[in-house]
Amino acid sequence: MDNLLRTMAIITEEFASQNLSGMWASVITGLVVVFLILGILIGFIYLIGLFSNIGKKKEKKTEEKAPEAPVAPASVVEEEVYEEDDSEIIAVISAAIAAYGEQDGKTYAIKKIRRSEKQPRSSWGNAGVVDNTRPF
Amino acid sequence: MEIIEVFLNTLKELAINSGFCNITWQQGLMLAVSFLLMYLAIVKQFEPLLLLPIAFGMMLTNIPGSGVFHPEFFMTEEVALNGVNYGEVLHHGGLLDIIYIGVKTQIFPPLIFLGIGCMTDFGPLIANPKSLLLGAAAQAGIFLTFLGACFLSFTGIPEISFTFKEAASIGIIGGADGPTAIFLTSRLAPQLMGSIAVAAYSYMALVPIIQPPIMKLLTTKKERLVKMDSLRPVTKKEKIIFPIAVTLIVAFVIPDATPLVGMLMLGNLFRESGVVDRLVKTASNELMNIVTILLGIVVGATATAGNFLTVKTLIIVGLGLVAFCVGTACGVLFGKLMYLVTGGKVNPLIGSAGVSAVPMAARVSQTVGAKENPSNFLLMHAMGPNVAGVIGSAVAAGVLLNIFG
Repeated sequence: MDNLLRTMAIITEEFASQNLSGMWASVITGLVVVFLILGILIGFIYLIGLFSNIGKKKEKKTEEKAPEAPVAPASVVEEEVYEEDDSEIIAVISAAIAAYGEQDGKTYAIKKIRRSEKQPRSSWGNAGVVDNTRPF
Repeated sequence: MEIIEVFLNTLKELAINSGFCNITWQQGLMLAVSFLLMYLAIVKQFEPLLLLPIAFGMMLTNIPGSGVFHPEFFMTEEVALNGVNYGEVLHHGGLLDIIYIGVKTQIFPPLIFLGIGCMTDFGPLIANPKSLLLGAAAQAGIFLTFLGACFLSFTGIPEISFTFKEAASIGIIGGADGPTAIFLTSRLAPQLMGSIAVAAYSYMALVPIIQPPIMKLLTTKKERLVKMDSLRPVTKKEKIIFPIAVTLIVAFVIPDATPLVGMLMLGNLFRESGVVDRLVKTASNELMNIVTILLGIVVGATATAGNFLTVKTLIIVGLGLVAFCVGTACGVLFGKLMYLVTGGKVNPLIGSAGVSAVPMAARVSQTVGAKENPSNFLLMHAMGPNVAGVIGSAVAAGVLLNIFG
């Protein structure tokens, strides 16, 4: 018992010699440095974004100033889009909206289905999101 | 007659040298633990890619007389003072001793980071750089658990007393990043490697169970319902500059974090440059799989009965859970702060993804958010803090190495 108490005393003493202030200093230093580095990274990422946007704006301006090149009439493209058989896609969209409406308890009417010009994520990307978000 | 005598003597020798005659109860218990881990990996699919080789390595090392791994080559006080005698390891070591050199010389964890870099899209982080703060906040779990482990030493009980180096290795479990935990522990407290790796990977697998109650407890329904604005598109130029800039900034400030962050960002540069597809495929598939097998099996091998069956292991498992919970809570609380500062534009649920565990932690944010409102997609927003957590935990490891290494 005496031996055990003596060992405990030695360990506590050794630990105290590693010093309490050193322990707190390590924690504070660690947290401050992590925040500092990631803070610097935030600033740097904003800078990168800023510079690449400046480049983009310049490109846009030059595009606006440049004389319009003769292009095929837009209606031709539109016709091509409408010529596609989209009935399956329309059915799927309608079913999805109906299912959403069932959850809400409301009825929705579809007036127009228009292809978005901006497509931030491809259908494969969407499939990836669905795959990642399925319940585990 | 003589032939029968020789035959019987040989049988007797075989029996005496066999594992059945030499097994201790501790080794028997360790074999049972390895079977349990194999069950969890195969049936419950808890991080099977790493838990299965870890469990098998644990089984191999605890078979009496197998001689595949010798902890005395790497984990004694003499080794801590004078370094590893690699000549002895190569001449007298077993298979896993030689493979363990890859951990001891810190080759494997950075190679895993190379593969992770090839598979990670930092786009959500670049689009919303503020999410780096959530990744930093979640690292508080590491430092607070370090503090907790240090305070245990005030009890003076040898079985639950930890040195600063050991406490730092335990704290890193809160980073929820296996390779980082192995990287740091191999340098600071190799004798705790088995316990820390098993605790880290077990909790990473349990993220979907551990995190949701904490997230719900710390947030209101109104906060959980917040729909965040869609992220801006990120240009290729930004994605290419990002890994180079991160490497330079982190390496200049914390040189000890260079192996991990450098390899992570090299992998990401491979991916984003778009000119080295073959390297990307190799680093993220074949190379990563090979290193995963080697790393898993040797980390499991370090869990010998002498190292693993101690009160310290139980304490490590307990402190690991604390580290995880505190990290999650700090991330969510910082998310709440951002919610207040931005006037309700940030959903605090994404804060929990700041503990690495990619992409599981981000999926948990998405799932908890979708439970409140099925049309709320938080996944891409949560991926920002999630990948920030990987950088954050590597930086935290570098800081701890710098202080205690």
